[in-house]
Amino acid sequence: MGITKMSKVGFKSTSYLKSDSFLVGNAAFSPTAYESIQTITVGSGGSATVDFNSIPATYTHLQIRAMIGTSSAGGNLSLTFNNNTTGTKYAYHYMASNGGASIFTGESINRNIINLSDFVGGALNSSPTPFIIDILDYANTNKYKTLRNLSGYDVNGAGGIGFFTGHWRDTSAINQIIFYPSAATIVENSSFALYGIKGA
Amino acid sequence: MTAGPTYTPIATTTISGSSTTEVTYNSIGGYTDLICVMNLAPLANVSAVRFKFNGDTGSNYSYIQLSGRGGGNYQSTHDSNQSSGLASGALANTTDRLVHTMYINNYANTNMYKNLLGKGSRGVDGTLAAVSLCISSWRSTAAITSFTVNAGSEILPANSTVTLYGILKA
Repeated sequence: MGITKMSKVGFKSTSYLKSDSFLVGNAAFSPTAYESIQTITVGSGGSATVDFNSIPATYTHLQIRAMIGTSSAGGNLSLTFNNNTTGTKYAYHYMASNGGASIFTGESINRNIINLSDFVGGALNSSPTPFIIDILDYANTNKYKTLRNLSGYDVNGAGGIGFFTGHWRDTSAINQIIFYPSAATIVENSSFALYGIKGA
Repeated sequence: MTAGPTYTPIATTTISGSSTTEVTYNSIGGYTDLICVMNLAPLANVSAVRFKFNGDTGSNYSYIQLSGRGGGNYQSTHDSNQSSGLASGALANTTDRLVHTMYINNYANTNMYKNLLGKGSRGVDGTLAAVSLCISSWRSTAAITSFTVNAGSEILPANSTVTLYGILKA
């Protein structure tokens, strides 16, 4: 039950202030512009895909923070938007390193997926792979969509780090994101957390 | 379905004086992920940004990093069995400020090794690495309750700031 009325009867001090607000004297609550929308944790047996659907269009940007393992090491993780898996609307560019003498840079255009990483570590307990994926202006229907991803894994100096950008030549608002590993499955207890970032 | 607003500032430290060698945040709890943002003032000596979890100084850290400074100058490096992790190989120097952002996902999970994704940058070009991307792991399944960040063995310069944020998933 909410408080509906207060009385000064019984107050020993007379140095009180009268106000019509129960917030008087307290700092204003200012919620952040960053909200958790949904988290998917992969269940027993693993999964061949992870699917966020019915994504609300009420934010300006999206961020996905994931920690995953896969059924085999050294593969990649890709995504599609709005279940668009046909055609050639996707492209991606990257720079990456395995800690050796060389760095890897490249591109792939006219694809049916966006590749997010070529360094996925395999076992979740000993070589977990974090992803920080930003999808900008995802609900804007006047522009093609872009993303960037930072991810990698490290097993005592072996593994890799990569920075990938992706592009979808479509002006549709993004309402679905599906992840696909190159390995057979994303293993149990891998997690994908979707966040929305509000604009002013 | 939504869990509401998150990305909560936990603590901010502004360095004063000339005797602070590291910043430590203890009793970290209640979130899913951590983000640490460090704005490092110019340093007396060249130095990278390092970190420790739970005060551990054993040989349990390693890293892989990609760094560069333009003009075809880049480095791809790794190391194993380190006594601290590498948060960013973008190198501090005597004239330029650096910004380092560190992402620590699933920091309280007790079923997996922990890692830190780092990116760092210095706005002014020079002979040192100006940008860095780094993955650094800690071979422990312990929940992270303490996070320490430093500039190696260097004194942290006055007017540097460190802010720690917590993110909670739905």
